[in-house]
Amino acid sequence: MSYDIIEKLKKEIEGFKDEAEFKNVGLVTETADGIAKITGLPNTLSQEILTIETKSGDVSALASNLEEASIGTIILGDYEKVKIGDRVRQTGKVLSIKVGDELIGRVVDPLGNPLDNKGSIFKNPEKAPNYPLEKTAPSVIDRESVKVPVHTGLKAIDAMIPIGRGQRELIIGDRSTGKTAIALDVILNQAQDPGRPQIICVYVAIGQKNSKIAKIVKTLEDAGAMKYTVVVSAPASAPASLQYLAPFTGCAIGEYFMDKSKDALVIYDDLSKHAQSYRELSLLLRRPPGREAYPGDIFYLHSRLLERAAKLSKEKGGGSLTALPIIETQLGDVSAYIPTNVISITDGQIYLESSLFYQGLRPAVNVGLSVSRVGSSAQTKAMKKVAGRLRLELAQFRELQAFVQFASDLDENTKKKIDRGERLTEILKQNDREPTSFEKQVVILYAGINGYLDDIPKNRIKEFETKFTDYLEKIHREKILSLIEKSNELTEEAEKNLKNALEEFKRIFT
Amino acid sequence: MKYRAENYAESLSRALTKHPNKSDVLTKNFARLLKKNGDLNLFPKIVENLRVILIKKRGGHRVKIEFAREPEKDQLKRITSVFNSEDVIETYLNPELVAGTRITIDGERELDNSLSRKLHKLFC
Repeated sequence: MSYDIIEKLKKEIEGFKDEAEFKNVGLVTETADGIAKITGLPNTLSQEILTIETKSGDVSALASNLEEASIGTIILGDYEKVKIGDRVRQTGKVLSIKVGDELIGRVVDPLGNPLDNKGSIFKNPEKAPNYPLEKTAPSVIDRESVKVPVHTGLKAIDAMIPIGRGQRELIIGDRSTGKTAIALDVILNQAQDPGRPQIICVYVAIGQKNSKIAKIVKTLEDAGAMKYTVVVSAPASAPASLQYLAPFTGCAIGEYFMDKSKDALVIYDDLSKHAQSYRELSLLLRRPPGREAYPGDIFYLHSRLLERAAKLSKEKGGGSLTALPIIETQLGDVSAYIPTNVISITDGQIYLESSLFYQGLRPAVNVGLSVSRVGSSAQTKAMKKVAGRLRLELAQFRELQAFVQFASDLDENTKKKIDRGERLTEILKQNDREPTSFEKQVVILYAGINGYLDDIPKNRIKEFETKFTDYLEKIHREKILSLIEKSNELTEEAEKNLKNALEEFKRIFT
Repeated sequence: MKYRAENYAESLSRALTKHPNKSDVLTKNFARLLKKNGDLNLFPKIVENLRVILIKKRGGHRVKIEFAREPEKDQLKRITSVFNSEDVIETYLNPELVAGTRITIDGERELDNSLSRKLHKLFC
């Protein structure tokens, strides 16, 4: 070890050049709360990394405000080291991180440094490509329409709000309504979707408690999901500058995999806190405040981030980057500034409601208000076959449910519709961290919409579902589940087998 | 509206150029204006900016030479002879340099031949 250190130092001393030359230099004139104002350095680029030479070592800063007489910078390191009069130098580089397959299974900070005590990330850091945090989104020509589904493992979402690879789907709701739980289920489910290429997941935690992030990482590790997941962590204790950069780091990592013709999924948890950290930095940089004191470019901040999600054309490798941004609303107010901005940027939203959550409907998805603008083109044929009727049945049920509260005497047909709706709602309930594979979703939804559950008591629906899928797994795996999984279709043969299996199982069950 | 030191310096410089014979009156008025606006604390910055403007107008540069130790007369003469007569040369003693000199031009360009830079480059 000591030999290595001495050799390294020797090489550095041998290659040391000490010729003095004229260089550009700047001076720190103001510094406070993670922000520094610098004079000099007239050729500085926007988003360039500057090096502040402090008495206790170099500190990096990001050039953000290029003004007439000074530069407003965001300090990326320990800002307490920076003093007025410190000299500043240009690096000529814009902010970027090293990316590579070695990132999979690691927890990193927004600057790409490991946080999981598993040692350095790259064996040869010099060979790892640098990806800029800010990059122009793929052009229209480079894109392709979204066709392949991202199966979330949640019946309510996969059936009625399908998400495609390359789509941007917002998860929005009040605090404690299960937004992160949905995101985690999506990650966990990627291990059980063998019909499609493996999705590499990037989970970006912004402004969350360290304990919550540790719990999420533990959950992913226990489920074996870290084999295809990268976690970018900027907890609440991190400076606003790192919280602001975290989603861009996650996006850059996702883009690396997309450029390698793979499918990637980035979860931004959450963009409300990201907007708050950007507001903090902007106010400290003395940019004019706008609505809710957010700066004027807050829309552009999120649109340029989310526009980078894309399904690339075959000529560009055919990779994809799916984005699942999360927004936390206050008392269900979706018309606030940041929620409306992100709703308008994304290709649909999954709206979670506290009232549904407390009624025991989990995931608490409000199916009426949730949409996916990509629609059924990101669904398998098998799912399309059952999902169309499911949406209709549930819509009728919701309408009748409101009506029933006032009417006491109901005709037979209405009663049937309400009973069916209640059973379908029961089917859509799912526990945390128990995502259902797509073929199992298809069979149970098929049973529900075709009336096979109408005579099963409501409180036994869950039991029926568990036992029936177990039964299919053990006895009819090849004839039904594997057929659906391989062909992505509910073929006549599979449907016939499924009908027989349902009738047979019902005899045993009842 | 709050004015910046650069605005004050620029306006004073223009006024002095327009009325070169009234410098006494203009200076007094300028001091009154600063007092009225409550900007007397900006005075050192204004003077600094005014110096820069005047030097630029003359076509020169502001040269700041820092020495780690008191320079010898010959050494100082040799260094200052490199610059033009329009340039304003300021010399300072800065023991933080450890050894050598550092020359900064207009606060933007720098020739750092100090030992502190070499040590910094080696270890940081």
